[in-house]
Amino acid sequence: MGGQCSNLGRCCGNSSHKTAVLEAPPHVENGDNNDITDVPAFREYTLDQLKSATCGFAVEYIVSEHGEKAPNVVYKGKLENQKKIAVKRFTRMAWPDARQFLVWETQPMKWTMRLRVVLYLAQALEYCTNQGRILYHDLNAYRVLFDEECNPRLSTFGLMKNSRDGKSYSTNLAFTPPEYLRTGRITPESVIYSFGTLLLDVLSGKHIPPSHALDLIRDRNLQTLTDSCLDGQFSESDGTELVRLASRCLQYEARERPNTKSLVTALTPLQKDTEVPSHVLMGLPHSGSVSPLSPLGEACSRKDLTAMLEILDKLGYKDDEGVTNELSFQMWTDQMQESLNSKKKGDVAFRQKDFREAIEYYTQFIDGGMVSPTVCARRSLCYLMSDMPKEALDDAIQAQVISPVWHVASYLQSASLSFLGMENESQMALKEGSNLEAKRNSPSQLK
Amino acid sequence: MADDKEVPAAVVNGHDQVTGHIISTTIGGKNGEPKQTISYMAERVVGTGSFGIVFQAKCLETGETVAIKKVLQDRRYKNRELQLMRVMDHPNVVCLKHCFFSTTSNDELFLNLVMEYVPESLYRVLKHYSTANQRMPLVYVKLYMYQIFRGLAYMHNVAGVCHRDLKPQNLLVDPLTHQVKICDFGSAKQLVKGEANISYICSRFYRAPELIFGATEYTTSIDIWSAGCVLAELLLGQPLFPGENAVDQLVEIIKVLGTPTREEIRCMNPHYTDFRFPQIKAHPWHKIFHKRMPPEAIDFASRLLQYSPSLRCTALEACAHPFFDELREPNARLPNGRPFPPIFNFKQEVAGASPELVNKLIPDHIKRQLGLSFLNQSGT
Repeated sequence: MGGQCSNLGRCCGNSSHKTAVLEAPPHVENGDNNDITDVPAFREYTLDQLKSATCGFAVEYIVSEHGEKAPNVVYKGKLENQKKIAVKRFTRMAWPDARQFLVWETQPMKWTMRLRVVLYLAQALEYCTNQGRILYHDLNAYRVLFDEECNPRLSTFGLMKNSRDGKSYSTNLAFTPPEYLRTGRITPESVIYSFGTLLLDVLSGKHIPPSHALDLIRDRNLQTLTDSCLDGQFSESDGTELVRLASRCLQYEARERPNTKSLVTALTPLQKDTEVPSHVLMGLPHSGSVSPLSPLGEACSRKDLTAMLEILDKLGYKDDEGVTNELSFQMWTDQMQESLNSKKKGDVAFRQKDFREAIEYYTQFIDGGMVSPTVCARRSLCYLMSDMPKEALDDAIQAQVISPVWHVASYLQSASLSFLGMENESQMALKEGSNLEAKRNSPSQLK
Repeated sequence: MADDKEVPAAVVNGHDQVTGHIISTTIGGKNGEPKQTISYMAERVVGTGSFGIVFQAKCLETGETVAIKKVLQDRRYKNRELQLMRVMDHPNVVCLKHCFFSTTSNDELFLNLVMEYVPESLYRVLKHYSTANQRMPLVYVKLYMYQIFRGLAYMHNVAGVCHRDLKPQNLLVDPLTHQVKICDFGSAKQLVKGEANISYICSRFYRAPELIFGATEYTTSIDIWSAGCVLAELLLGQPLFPGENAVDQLVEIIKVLGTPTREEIRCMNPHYTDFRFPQIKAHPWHKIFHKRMPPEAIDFASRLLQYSPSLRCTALEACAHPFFDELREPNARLPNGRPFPPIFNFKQEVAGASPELVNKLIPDHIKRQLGLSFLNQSGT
């Protein structure tokens, strides 16, 4: 179990638990003359539901061996609908860090970033080779971690230290170099073989046994070999080049595999957008998942509309600067004055949480031809409060159209999308809002 | 009901007691065939389950031993198992000989499926080896697995049937000839693309991960996963993915294959891409498969046990895998010197297969026997 810490160092130290639940299956499953789909598949439960099902994770409810001292404890429990369940509690450490490579990314990694990962690894391997630390054990996607800048790094050097005799191998034998299966030993070239399997992982997003992947390559079945979410992200020639490199690494004869130096040489020309920082390619804020969200981002992620309202109210109209200028032309018309009055009335209603009235006045303001991202944002929040997420989303998008890099617009989109049940999109918008807000507050923006 | 061509010809009144009594039924009598009485003497119960019972019986007219599966018949439905068994005819699929209805004193209707009797199951063979603290000799692992895949190739490609409950208990073995037959079609179904199926099928230990994820649009590749589990069990002497419940089983799978990637989860069930799993370090495989395990066996297992259903090889491709090359050697025999049961008498199951694949499936010495020189030219 201790091995997990090295992979997940960043999220250690928190003792809270995550849980997995399964409903007890129904008794009769055979002879289904009419297939039905209301089956006990995976479902997510709230912590409260599980707490009440297990009497607050009471010790008497533990059914797994070794009682509460075991690393993963299983409880019996009963849901409100009387369904019996088993609840397995994992320690926080057992759960993945969002930044772990390939395995648990919240959104799929872009092609450009994947190529950067394999180049950095090739460079790391070359460095190790030059330092005389040639053997590297069971190189695989789990060994790739990301630093604060989201740059990929090779990890678990402890294993390398112990692996100099080249006697043991710790992964799935279908992925081990053929010479290891033959002789029980790995050689410097074995690492190149493992690097080849990693190239395949990067391309396919799957863990395909190399012998099978080579068959697919031989049959020119690159479609099957390509991660579905990379569609259209790279040219055919780049794809072919990577596949060619992978096949060379996976040569049965160890001496026919390229050395680390030629890996670097082959991967360097494939790099794109080299000036774009990794954290941007990863779609993560700079040190983002380490530093907490801003108060507005936090409120948005909790869907705490009241907190969002307070922050928006405090923010006032200072983000409208620059936008209102173009209206100065109309400044003296009566209509303008009327619109400004509607805005004022809207603001009062907004502050008093009379959302119906606020929507009405803000609508008068907007229909009067006035442009203000803040008013759009405020009306958006009013719509959210009134359980009209679709309208809220429209306003949040409008706010972004007027003010493209305004974080508040992204946060409101995130909240609206979440209420519309589009969690993925909501997360992306939240990330975008957080990025924009971080950029805005960074020193370079303050000059 | 008697007019319905889909249902068996005769209804027999029987006693509730199974063993010891004689059941008589009539067959034929249609299309001018002569009517013929067949009597079965029930001998012993060989299996029971939620479906009903299976008993061994002897046909009094022919002396032949049969297995009769007796299931409660819901009068509203046709029995799917019967429908499927009627269309299947293959040396590695248990054969339906006959069927009839029977009633009991409390007016329940039972369907009796009369099948060929095969005395052993792979489950019992495995148990035999594990009590003796031995591993199954590799040649038997190959011979049994090969026949299982041949049966599956027929079921999947010709009959279009997915078994959905493949496990050692449902794989019958003749101890003399070592012929294997797939049995129990109580969960089997013809899968139609785009139509949903229940995911709560298949027995624990042998359930494909997409079923654990609640997928409803799975394919016959769930049988390939189950067969992969059986292969591993024959090699290891114990189930590869034990676990009392679905979560435990998933944990066992992750221990061997590693945590599935986002793309792999998408392939199994597109609705679950946001589901997060505990990060479990994969077990070293040399702890799972001992060191002297031949590389072909490991390669074969890894091609069957893949998260992405579409990446698992087909049953026919499985038959062609180098793991089975030993069976294709010209002088290959059972350890006691007797010949193998027929394993190259392919018919419809190879229709539509590529010439390369057919060429691999039929060894040269068989080709020469059959005079299939044209096949020889295309490959070698």
